[in-house]
Amino acid sequence: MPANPMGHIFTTYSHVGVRDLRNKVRVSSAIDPEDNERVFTAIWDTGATHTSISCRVSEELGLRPTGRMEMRGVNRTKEVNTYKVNLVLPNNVRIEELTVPEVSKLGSAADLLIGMNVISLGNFVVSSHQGITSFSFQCPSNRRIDLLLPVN
Amino acid sequence: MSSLKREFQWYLQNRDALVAQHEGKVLVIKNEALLGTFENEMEAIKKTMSEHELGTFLVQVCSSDPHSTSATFHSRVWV
Repeated sequence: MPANPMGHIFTTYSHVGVRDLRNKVRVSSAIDPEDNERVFTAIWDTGATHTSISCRVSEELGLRPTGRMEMRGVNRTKEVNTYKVNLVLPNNVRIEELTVPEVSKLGSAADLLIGMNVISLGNFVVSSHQGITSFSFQCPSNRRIDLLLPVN
Repeated sequence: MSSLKREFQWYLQNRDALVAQHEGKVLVIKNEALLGTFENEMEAIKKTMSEHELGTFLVQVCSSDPHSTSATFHSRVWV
Protein backbone atom coordinates (compact mmCIF):
# COMPACT_ATOMS: atom_id res chain seq x y z
CA MET A 1 0.00 0.00 0.00
CA PRO A 2 1.49 3.40 -0.92
CA ALA A 3 2.22 5.80 1.92
CA ASN A 4 -0.46 8.41 2.49
CA PRO A 5 1.15 11.76 1.53
CA MET A 6 -1.11 13.47 4.08
CA GLY A 7 0.35 11.42 6.92
CA HIS A 8 -1.82 10.00 9.68
CA ILE A 9 -4.90 12.12 10.30
CA PHE A 10 -8.11 11.84 12.27
CA THR A 11 -11.03 14.22 12.58
CA THR A 12 -13.58 14.17 15.38
CA TYR A 13 -16.93 15.94 14.84
CA SER A 14 -19.30 17.43 17.44
CA HIS A 15 -22.20 19.84 17.46
CA VAL A 16 -21.45 23.53 17.91
CA GLY A 17 -21.44 24.44 21.58
CA VAL A 18 -19.51 21.36 22.58
CA ARG A 19 -17.66 22.11 25.81
CA ASP A 20 -14.45 20.18 25.16
CA LEU A 21 -12.58 18.23 22.49
CA ARG A 22 -12.69 14.54 23.28
CA ASN A 23 -12.37 11.13 21.68
CA LYS A 24 -11.19 7.62 22.44
CA VAL A 25 -7.54 6.60 22.62
CA ARG A 26 -5.85 3.30 23.41
CA VAL A 27 -3.43 3.09 26.30
CA SER A 28 -1.14 0.32 27.48
CA SER A 29 1.80 -0.09 29.79
CA ALA A 30 5.08 0.73 28.05
CA ILE A 31 6.75 -1.93 30.16
CA ASP A 32 4.30 -4.78 29.37
CA PRO A 33 2.59 -3.45 26.22
CA GLU A 34 1.19 -6.83 25.13
CA ASP A 35 -0.65 -7.39 28.36
CA ASN A 36 -3.25 -4.79 28.76
CA GLU A 37 -4.21 -2.28 26.08
CA ARG A 38 -7.52 -0.59 26.91
CA VAL A 39 -9.66 2.19 25.41
CA PHE A 40 -10.17 5.38 27.42
CA THR A 41 -11.79 8.77 26.90
CA ALA A 42 -9.31 11.59 26.34
CA ILE A 43 -9.74 15.34 26.36
CA TRP A 44 -7.36 17.37 24.22
CA ASP A 45 -6.10 20.23 26.38
CA THR A 46 -3.74 22.92 25.11
CA GLY A 47 -3.62 24.29 28.66
CA ALA A 48 -1.72 21.23 29.86
CA THR A 49 2.01 20.94 29.34
CA HIS A 50 1.89 17.16 29.81
CA THR A 51 -0.40 14.31 28.91
CA SER A 52 -1.77 12.85 32.13
CA ILE A 53 -3.88 9.94 33.28
CA SER A 54 -6.49 9.49 35.95
CA CYS A 55 -6.24 6.97 38.78
CA ARG A 56 -8.74 4.83 36.88
CA VAL A 57 -6.27 4.30 34.02
CA SER A 58 -3.41 3.27 36.30
CA GLU A 59 -5.70 0.94 38.24
CA GLU A 60 -7.29 -0.72 35.20
CA LEU A 61 -3.92 -1.24 33.51
CA GLY A 62 -2.22 -2.32 36.74
CA LEU A 63 0.53 0.25 36.22
CA ARG A 64 3.41 0.56 38.67
CA PRO A 65 5.04 3.98 39.18
CA THR A 66 8.49 4.72 37.82
CA GLY A 67 8.89 8.35 38.85
CA ARG A 68 7.51 11.46 40.50
CA MET A 69 6.52 14.89 39.20
CA GLU A 70 5.27 18.15 40.63
CA MET A 71 1.80 19.01 39.26
CA ARG A 72 0.98 22.70 39.15
CA GLY A 73 -2.78 23.10 38.82
CA VAL A 74 -5.12 26.03 39.03
CA ASN A 75 -5.89 25.37 42.68
CA ARG A 76 -2.63 24.07 44.11
CA THR A 77 0.63 22.20 43.55
CA LYS A 78 1.06 18.55 44.39
CA GLU A 79 3.66 15.86 43.86
CA VAL A 80 2.34 12.75 42.11
CA ASN A 81 3.50 9.43 40.68
CA THR A 82 4.40 9.10 37.01
CA TYR A 83 4.06 6.04 34.78
CA LYS A 84 5.39 4.90 31.40
CA VAL A 85 2.64 4.23 28.85
CA ASN A 86 2.13 3.73 25.15
CA LEU A 87 -0.61 5.77 23.55
CA VAL A 88 -2.41 4.94 20.29
CA LEU A 89 -4.33 7.87 18.79
CA PRO A 90 -7.40 7.47 16.54
CA ASN A 91 -5.16 7.93 13.48
CA ASN A 92 -3.19 4.87 14.63
CA VAL A 93 -0.18 6.96 15.48
CA ARG A 94 1.64 5.29 18.34
CA ILE A 95 3.37 7.43 20.91
CA GLU A 96 5.58 5.11 22.87
CA GLU A 97 7.21 5.28 26.27
CA LEU A 98 5.43 8.45 27.28
CA THR A 99 5.93 9.58 30.87
CA VAL A 100 2.54 10.53 32.29
CA PRO A 101 1.68 11.95 35.71
CA GLU A 102 -1.36 10.59 37.49
CA VAL A 103 -4.02 12.98 38.70
CA SER A 104 -6.62 12.16 41.29
CA LYS A 105 -9.50 13.60 39.33
CA LEU A 106 -10.26 14.87 35.84
CA GLY A 107 -13.37 16.84 35.06
CA SER A 108 -16.12 15.74 32.68
CA ALA A 109 -15.74 11.99 33.11
CA ALA A 110 -12.51 11.77 31.14
CA ASP A 111 -9.65 9.38 31.78
CA LEU A 112 -6.78 11.24 30.12
CA LEU A 113 -5.73 14.72 29.17
CA ILE A 114 -3.78 14.91 25.94
CA GLY A 115 -1.38 17.76 26.62
CA MET A 116 1.02 19.85 24.62
CA ASN A 117 3.80 17.25 24.72
CA VAL A 118 1.62 15.21 22.32
CA ILE A 119 -0.32 17.98 20.56
CA SER A 120 2.91 19.70 19.52
CA LEU A 121 4.01 16.57 17.64
CA GLY A 122 1.73 17.45 14.72
CA ASN A 123 -0.90 19.77 13.25
CA PHE A 124 -3.88 20.34 15.54
CA VAL A 125 -6.82 22.21 14.03
CA VAL A 126 -10.13 23.21 15.62
CA SER A 127 -12.93 24.41 13.36
CA SER A 128 -16.55 25.41 13.86
CA HIS A 129 -18.69 25.82 10.74
CA GLN A 130 -22.39 25.42 9.92
CA GLY A 131 -23.29 23.88 13.24
CA ILE A 132 -20.44 21.40 13.43
CA THR A 133 -17.32 21.71 15.57
CA SER A 134 -14.48 19.45 14.54
CA PHE A 135 -10.91 18.92 15.47
CA SER A 136 -8.26 17.24 13.39
CA PHE A 137 -4.82 16.00 14.24
CA GLN A 138 -2.16 15.16 11.70
CA CYS A 139 1.00 13.43 12.82
CA PRO A 140 3.59 13.78 11.54
CA SER A 141 2.88 17.23 10.16
CA ASN A 142 3.51 17.79 6.45
CA ARG A 143 2.89 21.55 6.26
CA ARG A 144 2.30 24.74 8.20
CA ILE A 145 -1.37 25.71 8.58
CA ASP A 146 -2.06 29.43 8.65
CA LEU A 147 -5.61 30.73 8.12
CA LEU A 148 -4.21 33.99 6.79
CA LEU A 149 -2.66 32.18 3.83
CA PRO A 150 -4.78 31.24 0.79
CA VAL A 151 -5.68 27.56 0.43
CA ASN A 152 -4.13 25.97 -2.66
CA MET B 1 6.04 8.84 53.01
CA SER B 2 5.81 6.58 49.96
CA SER B 3 8.98 5.01 48.65
CA LEU B 4 9.15 7.02 45.43
CA LYS B 5 8.31 10.25 47.23
CA ARG B 6 11.32 9.74 49.47
CA GLU B 7 13.58 8.97 46.50
CA PHE B 8 12.32 12.01 44.59
CA GLN B 9 13.00 14.29 47.55
CA TRP B 10 16.50 12.84 47.76
CA TYR B 11 17.02 13.64 44.07
CA LEU B 12 15.82 17.23 44.53
CA GLN B 13 18.01 17.73 47.58
CA ASN B 14 21.09 16.37 45.81
CA ARG B 15 20.30 17.68 42.35
CA ASP B 16 23.23 20.05 41.98
CA ALA B 17 25.81 17.41 42.81
CA LEU B 18 24.11 14.81 40.63
CA VAL B 19 23.85 17.20 37.69
CA ALA B 20 27.54 18.04 38.03
CA GLN B 21 28.41 14.39 37.46
CA HIS B 22 25.54 12.90 35.46
CA GLU B 23 23.67 15.63 33.54
CA GLY B 24 21.69 14.15 30.66
CA LYS B 25 21.84 10.61 32.02
CA VAL B 26 18.94 8.68 33.50
CA LEU B 27 19.37 7.96 37.19
CA VAL B 28 17.92 5.07 39.14
CA ILE B 29 17.52 5.89 42.83
CA LYS B 30 16.54 3.56 45.65
CA ASN B 31 16.87 3.85 49.43
CA GLU B 32 18.08 7.43 49.02
CA ALA B 33 21.12 6.32 47.04
CA LEU B 34 22.12 6.23 43.40
CA LEU B 35 21.70 2.68 42.11
CA GLY B 36 22.91 3.30 38.56
CA THR B 37 23.05 5.61 35.55
CA PHE B 38 21.69 4.79 32.09
CA GLU B 39 21.37 6.28 28.63
CA ASN B 40 17.56 6.19 28.47
CA GLU B 41 14.57 5.57 30.71
CA MET B 42 13.43 2.23 29.29
CA GLU B 43 16.91 0.79 29.56
CA ALA B 44 17.01 1.98 33.18
CA ILE B 45 13.65 0.42 33.97
CA LYS B 46 14.22 -2.94 32.27
CA LYS B 47 17.72 -3.49 33.62
CA THR B 48 16.80 -2.47 37.15
CA MET B 49 13.65 -4.62 37.10
CA SER B 50 15.82 -7.73 36.85
CA GLU B 51 16.91 -7.17 40.44
CA HIS B 52 14.37 -4.79 41.98
CA GLU B 53 10.58 -4.78 41.96
CA LEU B 54 9.00 -2.16 39.72
CA GLY B 55 7.57 0.62 41.86
CA THR B 56 10.36 0.44 44.45
CA PHE B 57 12.91 2.53 42.54
CA LEU B 58 12.80 6.00 41.01
CA VAL B 59 13.77 6.62 37.40
CA GLN B 60 14.78 10.24 36.92
CA VAL B 61 16.32 12.17 34.04
CA CYS B 62 19.19 14.14 35.54
CA SER B 63 18.70 17.76 34.51
CA SER B 64 19.33 21.23 35.87
CA ASP B 65 16.19 22.46 34.08
CA PRO B 66 13.63 23.23 36.80
CA HIS B 67 10.80 22.39 34.37
CA SER B 68 12.06 18.82 34.02
CA THR B 69 10.41 17.84 37.29
CA SER B 70 7.06 19.58 36.90
CA ALA B 71 3.95 19.76 34.74
CA THR B 72 1.59 22.74 34.54
CA PHE B 73 -2.16 22.52 34.04
CA HIS B 74 -4.01 25.75 33.38
CA SER B 75 -7.38 24.11 33.36
CA ARG B 76 -9.44 21.18 34.45
CA VAL B 77 -7.05 19.20 36.62
CA TRP B 78 -7.69 18.86 40.32
CA VAL B 79 -4.35 17.87 41.72
